[in-house]
Amino acid sequence: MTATTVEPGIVERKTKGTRAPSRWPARIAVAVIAALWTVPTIGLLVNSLRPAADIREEGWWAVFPNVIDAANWTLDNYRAVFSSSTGFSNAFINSIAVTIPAVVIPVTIAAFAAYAFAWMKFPGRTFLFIVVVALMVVPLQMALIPILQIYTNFEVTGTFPAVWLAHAGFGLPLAIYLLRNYMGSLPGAVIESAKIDGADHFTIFRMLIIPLSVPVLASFAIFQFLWTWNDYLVALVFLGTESQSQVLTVALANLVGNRGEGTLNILPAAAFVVMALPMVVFFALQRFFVRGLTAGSVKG
Amino acid sequence: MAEVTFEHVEKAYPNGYKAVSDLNLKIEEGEFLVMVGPSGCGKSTTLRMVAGLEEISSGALSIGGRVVNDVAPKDRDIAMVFQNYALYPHMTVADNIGFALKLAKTPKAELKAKVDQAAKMLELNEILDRKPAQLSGGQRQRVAMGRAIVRSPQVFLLDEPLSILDAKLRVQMRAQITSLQRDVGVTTFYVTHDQVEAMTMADRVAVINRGILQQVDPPQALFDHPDNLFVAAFIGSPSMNLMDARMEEVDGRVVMHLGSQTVAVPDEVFTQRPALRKYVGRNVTVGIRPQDIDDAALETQHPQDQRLRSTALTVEALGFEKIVYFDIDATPVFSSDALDMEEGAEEVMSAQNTRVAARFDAVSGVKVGDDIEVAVTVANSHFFDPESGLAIRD
Repeated sequence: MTATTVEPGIVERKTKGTRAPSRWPARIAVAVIAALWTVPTIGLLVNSLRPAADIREEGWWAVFPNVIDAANWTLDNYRAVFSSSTGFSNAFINSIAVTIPAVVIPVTIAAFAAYAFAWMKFPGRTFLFIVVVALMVVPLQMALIPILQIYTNFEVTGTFPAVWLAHAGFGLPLAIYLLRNYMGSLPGAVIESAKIDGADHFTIFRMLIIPLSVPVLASFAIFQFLWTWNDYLVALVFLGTESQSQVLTVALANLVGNRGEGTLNILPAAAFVVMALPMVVFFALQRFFVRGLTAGSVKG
Repeated sequence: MAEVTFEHVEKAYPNGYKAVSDLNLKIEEGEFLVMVGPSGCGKSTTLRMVAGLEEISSGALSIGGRVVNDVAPKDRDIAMVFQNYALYPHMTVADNIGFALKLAKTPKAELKAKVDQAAKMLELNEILDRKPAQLSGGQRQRVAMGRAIVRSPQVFLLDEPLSILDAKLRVQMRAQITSLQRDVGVTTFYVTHDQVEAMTMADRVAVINRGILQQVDPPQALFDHPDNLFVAAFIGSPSMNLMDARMEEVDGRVVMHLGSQTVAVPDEVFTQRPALRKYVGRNVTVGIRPQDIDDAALETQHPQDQRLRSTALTVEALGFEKIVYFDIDATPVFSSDALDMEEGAEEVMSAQNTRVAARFDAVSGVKVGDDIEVAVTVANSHFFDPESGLAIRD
């Protein structure tokens, strides 16, 4: 920041740039982007609550002159979604059955691996880490057929563990990478201090690393949850479209494919059902995104 | 309690760099030993070897008579206070202090009693439920101390525990740590770069530089009889004035030429260190402590032949004394290592002139730019071999 090392004109411009007037364009841009992204969702929400006939006749914005008119609103679409003929209730349960292990397994494995990569000395540590990180380059689609062949050989295709394993495998490289970087940035003196206090690696992991890594564990868990919940491809390939095992995204796609125009009224409601849980998860865990959990441990 | 012994201990890194070379040192049972040296001198490495956080390349390190080279940190029965305290951020003060006891599966009641006792000693009772982030620097420092004393270990290891506190708190904590150590009587190995800390706290001070132990002595002995140029320059503030001198015998009396000026060397200097006789007619490095130079105007009785003349360049009035800087045209001598620690020292020292620091009595009326005459107590000077840098004694 010394003026002597920078051309005077540049310094002037910089200080001007950081002044208050420049805030407004950014704020307006953010507001516009937020609106553009939200409007279709609001339209979807509105339509999901309208009678089938209305949806077919006019756009969702037509509701606005008579918003308070009860005749414009109905919960029939949601009832239809959960009626047994669509298989949606079952798919909802299936999605949960797929997603929870598909989050817990990679987070657990990655946490152990990340601790080892960050704080345990063993030969080949750097090389192994590079290999793991390099795996992020492999596109998921490229691995689908070989994995499907292996699964078929072991006769696990179409079972939940097959999908758990696939999701865990595809999620692990990024998980290990994120977690290792976070754990590696934890103050080394704290870990050394614990060693002197009598802790072994597992104790350090359990009593220090995990509590201090909650923000990154939560962030990754949210990401992994969203990916697996919204995933269509992996579930379609490894789990199939059988109604007793299909997940929500597959069920939603079937809704369009099987019944075409006739389902126009329940599609918005179905889409909202799919979105509901991710929203709950996000808002429940977002407080863990806080930074500065290590404040006060070491100065500065 | 136990003694710590280093026998030919070395720390070498794979690239060949030796952080610690052939260290032989014994920390007595219950002793407070401070290891001091400039940054990068190997003192922290030494401490971390005792803690077991750094491997020992060769030699033997024993704690309480047991060689611990290959013993894990947790099995060495030591406690360490880190420079940045390394408190567990997600635990309360009480949990921080009791962590080691908890891991040792101490019964709950006993654990609580011990934590309370340690908290009482350190006046932490009020804040046992707080988290480290809610504490002040001094409180964090005390929690770190509490974590160490609660275990009643054989050895305390302290790695620059006061360096991140502000100056006032540092002085306060200095006294608190020494009295605490005296109360619990545990062998203590304390590492610092601050020679004032070393002098004020230690039973014995070990001066280390570039991985080589320079001298181990009680503070006063270290100050009065430095073994070599490095110790002479490192201990004391302002530093000892070191310059080239030529000794000559004139009419049966020995004089010392400091540049163009000459002072007499009284006979007692030679009776104290007979070996100095051999340097008559040769060059020698002379070291004069600032407090051995005073305003000649105040020391009217001082022998006329032990005086120097110059011009006051800087006067720092400290209230109880005045630090006066002036140049004389003798060639300065400084251990280059000692210079590393004080950046900008080179600006003060020009190659031709020696910048001399003197501690005048506060009543001295010297002002910047005044021509001054100073009284040098030559008998208190230190003499070093110009080649080896070792003190000339015996």
